[in-house]
Amino acid sequence: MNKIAKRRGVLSLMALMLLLGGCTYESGPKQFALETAAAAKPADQGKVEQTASGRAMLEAAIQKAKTDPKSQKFWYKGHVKNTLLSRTTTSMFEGAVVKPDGYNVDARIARQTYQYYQIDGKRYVRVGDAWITAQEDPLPFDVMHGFEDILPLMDRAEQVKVGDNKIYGVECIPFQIKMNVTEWLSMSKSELFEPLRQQLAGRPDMQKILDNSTVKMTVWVGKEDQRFYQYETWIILPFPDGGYMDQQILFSFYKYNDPGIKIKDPEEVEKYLLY
Amino acid sequence: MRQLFRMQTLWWALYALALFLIYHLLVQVAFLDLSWIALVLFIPVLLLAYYVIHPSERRQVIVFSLGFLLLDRALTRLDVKSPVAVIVGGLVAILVVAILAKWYGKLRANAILALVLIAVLVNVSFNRDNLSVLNHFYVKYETDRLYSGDWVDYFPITLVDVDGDGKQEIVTYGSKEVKSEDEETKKPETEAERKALAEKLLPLQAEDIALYVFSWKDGQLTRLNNEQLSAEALAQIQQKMPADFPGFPYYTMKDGQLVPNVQRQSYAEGMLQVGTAPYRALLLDLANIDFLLQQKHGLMDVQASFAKDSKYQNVSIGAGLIEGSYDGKGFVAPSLATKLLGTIHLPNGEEGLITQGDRISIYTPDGNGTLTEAYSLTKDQISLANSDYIPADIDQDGVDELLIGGTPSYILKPAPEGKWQILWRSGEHDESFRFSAFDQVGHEEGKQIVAQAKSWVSSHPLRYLSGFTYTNEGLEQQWRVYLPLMNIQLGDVDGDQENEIIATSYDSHRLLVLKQHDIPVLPIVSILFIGLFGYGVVRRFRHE
Repeated sequence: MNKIAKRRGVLSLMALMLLLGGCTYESGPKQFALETAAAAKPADQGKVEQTASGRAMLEAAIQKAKTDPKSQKFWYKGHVKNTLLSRTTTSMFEGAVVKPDGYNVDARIARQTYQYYQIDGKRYVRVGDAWITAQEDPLPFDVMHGFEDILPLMDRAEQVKVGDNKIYGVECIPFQIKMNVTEWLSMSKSELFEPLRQQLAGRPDMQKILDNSTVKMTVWVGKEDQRFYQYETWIILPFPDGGYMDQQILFSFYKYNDPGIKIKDPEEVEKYLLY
Repeated sequence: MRQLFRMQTLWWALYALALFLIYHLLVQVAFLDLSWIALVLFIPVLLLAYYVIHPSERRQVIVFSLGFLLLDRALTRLDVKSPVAVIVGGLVAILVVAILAKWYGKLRANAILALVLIAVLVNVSFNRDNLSVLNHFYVKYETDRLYSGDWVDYFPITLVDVDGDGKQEIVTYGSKEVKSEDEETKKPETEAERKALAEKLLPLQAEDIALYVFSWKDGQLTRLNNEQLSAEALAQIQQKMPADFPGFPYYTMKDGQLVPNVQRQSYAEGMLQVGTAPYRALLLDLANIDFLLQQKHGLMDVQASFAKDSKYQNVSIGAGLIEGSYDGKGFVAPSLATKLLGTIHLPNGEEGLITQGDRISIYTPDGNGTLTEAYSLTKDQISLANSDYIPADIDQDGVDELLIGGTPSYILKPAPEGKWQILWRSGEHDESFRFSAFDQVGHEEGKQIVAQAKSWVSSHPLRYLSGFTYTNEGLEQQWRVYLPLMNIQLGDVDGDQENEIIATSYDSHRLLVLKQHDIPVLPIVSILFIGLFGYGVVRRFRHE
């Protein structure tokens, strides 16, 4: 044996010791991480002086979305993230809207991606490599539809501060409503809730779920241009045999009137139409 | 001796085998666990190895070594979907490496033969997952893929002694009929074929799901015929199978099918009426909840019996109340819980009932027909969703600690007056660590904490399955396997009175049974490594 061999022996022994030597994972700080994080946060975080009326801002944004010629083209991005026990299942939407022509959607439902495209009353779905003509009865093409339904809720909304209040670089004023589903149901006029209202009669078990739920809805309206920039809702519900589920519904709108927005002509899709 | 590397096929073959073992069982393991430290250790070793080989043989040995490792890797990564592709791809890889070895490495035909033979042999003769677990375990069995759909990433797994023979059966879900992956759709030619394909592709389809019960018979896992399972066995399975809701809220498990609740076009159109999106999302949630409540007759959760020594029986939660009996005496108490998690041994010999709702509650009977919340954990303390809760007496004092598998993970000891003492917590920046189970592993004495943990040095968030014992200094690692396993179960499935590890990996839908062995693999391979190096040194200096 010579020096080199010895040195090499020492080296591999060191490696071996490290691998064999039963490492010990020492404890991190012995505090609940969330309590530590909460204590570090200033108590008044999120609370701000109320400088604007939520209802007036929302009304202005709805009006603008309907009539302002410079608010008819925009990009959007959205997702619904569902957390239940150890699973997180997400659906996603991304694309551009050009009113009154149509929109495209890069979408995903539970890990299955697809595209949806509607323009000038023509509707196609792309699954894998195949474009297919959509078969279901269409819903009206009205991207900002539904915001009127939260107008009655806005009387309870508080102006809040979320980060630097900017969405894609645009300064916004966020308004927030906290409620449970029972309150949401009684305040909102949405006809979507009608079947639920009827179903609840004689169902104390379902009513209990609604009573014990938590909803937090936040709308970001542009401070200067009063356009919609973001809409987020958290829904927390008791779930049979599942603890409490939580769900985030988040949509952002950006680059209004971006000259780069173009939705391809239907002919481009029809070339590849399977059926 | 001097002609060794040049002449004998057998020696080349042995060298290839040694290289294979050293590379997979020592070098790779070192890199996985030690990251850049391994690099610092191995660079000088490689440099030394370069100089140890005599210049006249250097090119041959290096080309042989690299060629062998490359070919081994290429053969491992062959596309396994069709046998033709495997054979063609394999032949191309062999040919390329052989030509390189011949023309660049100037290797003789017998050396090339040894290279190819050993590379093929180590790729066809055993389950390659063994290489990642071999330090302490071997792969006793691996099932075929049990699910052939597109989107479910994993199904729950549980162990139940279905036939009462003392060994556990493995229970999980999979597709009712597993289609082979290479089944290709024929390109449609006619209008009718195009229409048929479009109608098949356009809607999200319901998927037929079946219960899989595997029993160890004659040296392998054999699927039992579901129709021969007794009602009692099915009830037992139902009780032990963890609640799980794959695809929620877009799919619901109904009568042996995963049924879609939305369709591509209408869901996109609905959510793209953005103001209504939360309304629609809520309605979808409530439709699922309504279905579950109707199935459970308005109850949130119900459980007839708990652990063997538990005095709790027939516990149910519903309508804001928790009801049941303890030691034969009935109790009822208000509760917002939705899930029964099990029981726990508390100080002073008390037995607690753990529930999950808007908080984790541990109830104890107060003797007057009601329950007291003795301990609780709120969402301001730990993240309630996405966590696992495992009662485990890790310090063997007869009182259970509560392992919380989450980010971070905690070991909590029940202290007086409803307080928790934090015995251990995972590191502040460790997003990977998660407790999986607490039980006996193989023939180790005492129970071990089994957890998913990342490498000691690397910041890569892969989770390797590891065994730990608790000490006052922290969690002492006993073993580690280099596969990112999940859904870990510990139990005796082959009937030898020792617990195997049963697990799956994300999206693989194969069950893996790992068995502990006693062979000191790492020391043996290290000695082999040192021996090979020593041999090289001796050879070199005899040459001089």
